[in-house]
Amino acid sequence: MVDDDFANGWRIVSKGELQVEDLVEGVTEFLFNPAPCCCIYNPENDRHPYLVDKVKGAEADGVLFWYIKFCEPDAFDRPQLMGRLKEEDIPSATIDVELSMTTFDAVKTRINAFCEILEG
Amino acid sequence: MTEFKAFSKMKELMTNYYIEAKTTKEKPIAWITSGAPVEFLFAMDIIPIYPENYAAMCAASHQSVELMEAAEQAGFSQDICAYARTDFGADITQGGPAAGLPPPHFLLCSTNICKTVIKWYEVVARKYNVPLFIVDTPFLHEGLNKDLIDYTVTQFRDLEDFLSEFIGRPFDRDRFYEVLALSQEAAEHWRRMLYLGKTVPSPFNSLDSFIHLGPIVTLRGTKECVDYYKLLYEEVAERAEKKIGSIPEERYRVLWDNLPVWFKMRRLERFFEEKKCTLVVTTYANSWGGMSNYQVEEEGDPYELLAASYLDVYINWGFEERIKYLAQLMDEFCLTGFVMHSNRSCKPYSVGMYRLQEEVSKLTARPGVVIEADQNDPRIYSDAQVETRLEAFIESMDSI
Repeated sequence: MVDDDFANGWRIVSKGELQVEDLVEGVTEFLFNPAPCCCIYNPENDRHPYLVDKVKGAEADGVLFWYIKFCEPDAFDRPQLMGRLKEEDIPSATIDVELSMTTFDAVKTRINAFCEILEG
Repeated sequence: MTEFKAFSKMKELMTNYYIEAKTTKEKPIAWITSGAPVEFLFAMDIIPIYPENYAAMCAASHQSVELMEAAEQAGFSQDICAYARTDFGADITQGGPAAGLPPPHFLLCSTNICKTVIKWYEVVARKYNVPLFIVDTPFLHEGLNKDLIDYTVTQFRDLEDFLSEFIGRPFDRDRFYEVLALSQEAAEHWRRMLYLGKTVPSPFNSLDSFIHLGPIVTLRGTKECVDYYKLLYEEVAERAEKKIGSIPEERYRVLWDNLPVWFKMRRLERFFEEKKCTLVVTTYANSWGGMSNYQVEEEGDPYELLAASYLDVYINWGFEERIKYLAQLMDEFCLTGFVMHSNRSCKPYSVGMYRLQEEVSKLTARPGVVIEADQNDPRIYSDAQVETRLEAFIESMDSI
């Protein structure tokens, strides 16, 4: 895995320090930038070009979507995001995960299958 | 359903509305959420189209499953709202009644009914490459206040600018005030009709009100809508006066909370009738008796009144307010119990429902039941499970 776009990963890490001189501006900036999040509507910071650029920047061969039940905002975004990646010839796949899951065999199989696709 | 003469009038109204929307060459089309301030659109001669209403029609005519499957095939998770999935499916297949909806020129969405609509409309905006205007209506955790109203009014002003720029002429404020008056009048007829349910026996049941919701959702702000609800009110009032009940023998009177189960209307109607139980009042249908409903001639800024009416809706309230309102309806309508539909598709309506049931039961000393179902997805509905729970609930009620 060469890069991530997890809400509790890069999206948080990429944030700068919270500007406290003007707290409202600071919090807004902190929430809306730099990494776009499915929970925040901001057409000026669109997830589609952002993700494509990120994939290219990391020289990734493909994208694995990690859908955790029941994140509705992410579930709404994903089909069109996958469509956009396809237009760019970037392969992608989805793994469905529930927080209460205890066995991950199916997930492993899915990841293996995806890696085989990437290896061509 | 209770037989109302007005029903044929409603069918005619709704058919004409869809025909105009599907065939118009001149008027712009806006897709809009059920709780958005439609008055701004009518003032600018824009046809509002309601994907929620359409999805409900698909389910009521038993077409939702194949449409949802098409959406799921395209990658949309079964966890997202079934209305959204039904509409995405209709869009993909151009299926459903009247072969799908006319494509939008722009979208107007308001968060007073749920936050899901933002994501839903983002998908549509991207698909059709059209602008999306969001009216952000904050949740009323502790009631309405001036700041929330002001915040909403500023967005109404922005909406006017947006429409003016989009259509290419100044926003027509004179026409807007006329539309507001029509909207208020229709909502008031609807509210008065619903409150005739206080009569014992109730002259209509809530399944009727779900069916007759169409025009108040889609056409409020038009003269036709006012005329229709005046007609319906008069017909129901006559039944109330003559004490004609919606079912032959009314022994139990209950409230329904949350959306209908659109694909089970007939079966549930028969079930309740057999049990001599009338669904008298619903928080859902009542919502459109409140939205747009204020006195336009009252002193005060119409924009502020409009903002208040769109913010102050049941599903946008915190728990304390919901509990108080439910208990008040229980008393006002002389109810023997209440049914809460825990609706997998509508999370903001359903979250915390078991707690609500407990509190309202305690407060009113009357029983309530929670049924697990969905507004549009028959695949997760079990007749046996729902009806067994309802039977046990009905047995636990004291009759009137």
